[in-house]
Amino acid sequence: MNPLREGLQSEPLPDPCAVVIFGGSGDLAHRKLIPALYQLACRRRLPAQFAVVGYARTKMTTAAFRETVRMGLKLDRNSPLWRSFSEALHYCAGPYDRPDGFRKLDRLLKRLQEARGAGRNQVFYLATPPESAGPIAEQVAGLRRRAIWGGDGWSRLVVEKPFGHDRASAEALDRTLAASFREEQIYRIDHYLGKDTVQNILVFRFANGIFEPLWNRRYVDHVQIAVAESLGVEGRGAYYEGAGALRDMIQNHLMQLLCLVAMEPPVARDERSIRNEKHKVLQAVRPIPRDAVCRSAARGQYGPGAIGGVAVPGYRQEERVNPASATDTYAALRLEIDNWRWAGVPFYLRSGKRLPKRVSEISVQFKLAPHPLFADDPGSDLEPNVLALRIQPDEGIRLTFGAKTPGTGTVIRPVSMEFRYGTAFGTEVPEAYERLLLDCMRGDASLFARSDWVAKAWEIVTPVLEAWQSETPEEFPNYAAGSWGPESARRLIEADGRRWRAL
Amino acid sequence: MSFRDGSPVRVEVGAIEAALEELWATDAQQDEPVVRARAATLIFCTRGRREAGAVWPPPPGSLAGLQGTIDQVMRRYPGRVIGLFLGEEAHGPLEAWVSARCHLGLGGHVCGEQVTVAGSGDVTALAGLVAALRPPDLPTFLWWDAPLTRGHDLLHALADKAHEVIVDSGRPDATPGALAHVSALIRQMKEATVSDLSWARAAPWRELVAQFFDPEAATPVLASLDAADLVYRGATGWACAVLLAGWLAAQLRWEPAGSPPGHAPGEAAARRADGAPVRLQLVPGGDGPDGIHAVRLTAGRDAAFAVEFEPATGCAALTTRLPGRGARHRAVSLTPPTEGDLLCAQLAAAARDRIFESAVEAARGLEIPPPG
Repeated sequence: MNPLREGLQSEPLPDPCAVVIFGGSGDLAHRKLIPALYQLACRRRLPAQFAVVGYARTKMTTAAFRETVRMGLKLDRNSPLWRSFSEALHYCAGPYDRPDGFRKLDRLLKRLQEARGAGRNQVFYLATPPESAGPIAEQVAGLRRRAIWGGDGWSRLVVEKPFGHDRASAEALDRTLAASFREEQIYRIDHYLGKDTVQNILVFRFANGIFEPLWNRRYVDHVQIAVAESLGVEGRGAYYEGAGALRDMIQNHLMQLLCLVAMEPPVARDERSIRNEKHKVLQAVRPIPRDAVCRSAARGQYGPGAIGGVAVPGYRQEERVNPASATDTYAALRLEIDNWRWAGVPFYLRSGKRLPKRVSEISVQFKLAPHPLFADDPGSDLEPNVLALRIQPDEGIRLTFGAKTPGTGTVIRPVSMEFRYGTAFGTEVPEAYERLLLDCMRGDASLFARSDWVAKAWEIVTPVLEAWQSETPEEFPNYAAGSWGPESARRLIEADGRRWRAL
Repeated sequence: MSFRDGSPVRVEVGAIEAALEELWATDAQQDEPVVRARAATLIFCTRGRREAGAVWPPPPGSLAGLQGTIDQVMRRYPGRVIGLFLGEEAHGPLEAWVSARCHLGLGGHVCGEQVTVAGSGDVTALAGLVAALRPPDLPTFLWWDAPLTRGHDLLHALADKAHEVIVDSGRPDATPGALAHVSALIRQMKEATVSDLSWARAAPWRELVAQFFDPEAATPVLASLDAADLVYRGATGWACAVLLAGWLAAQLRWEPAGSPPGHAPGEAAARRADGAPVRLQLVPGGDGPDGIHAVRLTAGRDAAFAVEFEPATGCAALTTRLPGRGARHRAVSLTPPTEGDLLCAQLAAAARDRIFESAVEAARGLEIPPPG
């Protein structure tokens, strides 16, 4: 234990390590991962013994790789921060499924260990298409076994979503990864969990004493979780055709948000306790029988429309999308959680592309007052209290309640009490990948998904996926880009006498 | 011109709250509403601060540097600021102004308010005035922007019910004895914690030095350190360097070995836990702003650690040399914090810092001779 570390507000540095990014020439690496690592380095969060290796099939020299990174970060090549960081950057070209490329990688890691003390511990980040995950994991395990320089130290594997295509493929992927890595070495990344506002859900619920007594079926009418995107597929039609909104967003991001909202307080703040409670939520979700899918789920696909006043094409007109595609770009689910806390409280999840604006929000709608004392007052607008946790943009928390308007009569209008991150703290919210990468290097898996959780999340959505796959959606496209989704989604919630929140 | 524009409005000392309510009510008739936010209360008491061309007591806003600091803090912690600008006479009339402090946040203007009281007054009157103006149920921070050698009665009176008292042993006009006053204050405060902006200035240096010893191979070298050279500039740098030396001594359990006659200013001797000597040297130097410019630690001939600030680039060059390994270098960002950054860091921390208190006592124990 370093006695100089005592009392410092910053966390200890991670161990010296090399971060090997498979897909190192790709979009995720250059747009998110390497910039996050650069920011961490500049802000003194990384050790001196640190290296980044981009590995991909594209042939490139290390010098060219560094230059590409520099231009992407828009840095002056003479900046001391850039010069220092660039010395840590290396590139290795090779295939994902053959040992020859990995032998080259092994020799590079040995050189990095000798030159920078950074090769012994390794983070292997899979920023590649899902089908490459298994072959890469096998080759990495082989590399670790054969390490020509006898390298010991730890290794961790970071896997991006989607974790499989459905339950069967997720389990097959897990078996492949498990053949090469122990569960505690596998970090399934969901970048939503790295957002300060998502982490604030646990702080809000469990650091304050006043909300938890209300956080249950006695007082809560229903919960809505919405992740709306105004963007389309942005050139990723080939990937999205095989995914859809239910797989791409609801099975992972929205399920994580559901767990954070619905979970019991963990006994401790360690990763095991938190992940156990999240898994228990999914275990309590009532399965959706095949014949109930039409009452519990709705899907949609955007047609041509306008976003922000600008005309946009429909999904089927997007690049590399089948003109007769049956892929859902919008999905909504109605879930029930069968436990003492939530029995009888529906959870409505929705996510879609080409909606009017980008917004992610959890809203907890409370029951109306048991005795409507003011119901007869003319002009009174008795709305239920709503606690809205805004994930992005405009991060914050809003509580809506009724207040009497000034005057001689009793006229009630809804008003809001609001906390906004940007207003209250006046600082920028840190980038999610920075937090997640640092946590992985430090061996903290609290913000990463566990295999049993992933399997359970697939189990919940699989009946819906199977039902949708077996029935061609004749009505597609069924919502215009720039609208709030299909009629079927509106009917889903209105069948319960409720309605979607205006976002 | 509306209240939200920030221009100070002169008000009667006895009717400050009423004046504020009326001003806000009038402002509320504007088409665009503002968000009046309260996250904390900052009381600052300034005496002796001078800016070029300023008259004393300065009308609100005329000390642009100080007002800039206040506004920076308000953007992070909007609320009410109560500023006392104290004159030199024992008693004199008090004058008061109020002003809105607004910044453009998400959704519109986010506003706090500033009450400025200038002049002289007895301790009871000033403390009573501040107590009446302090909003309830919010953390209160007292920033004592004045030398620590005078006015302690007022400081103690204002610190009543304060969460934290913030002083600065590295003020440009600080005397070498400022650290002793900080130490006394820590002992005297019953409820409020005491923090020192010099310690906040030292925080990034502490972090960088600590990082050298995070790797397993480097941690044991701490027990072998035998020399620490701290390069500083100005009174601000001196105060920071003294605290850094005290921090090293406290955390590494170095005992003072006294400063024998003939020791130059800035030199001190200590003993490690194993009895071996440690040489401490605080050396004036460096170009650029006042503050710390370098920290260099050695353990015999084989191990060395250095952080060197490069003012031209706002970066620090770090060098590590361990036995059997070549030197390793890296650069990190090390922009000197503004006064507002330091205050915001203290408001964010807002808890008793026993490491700081240990560093103060250890620094005093080292008895490092100050520069002439």
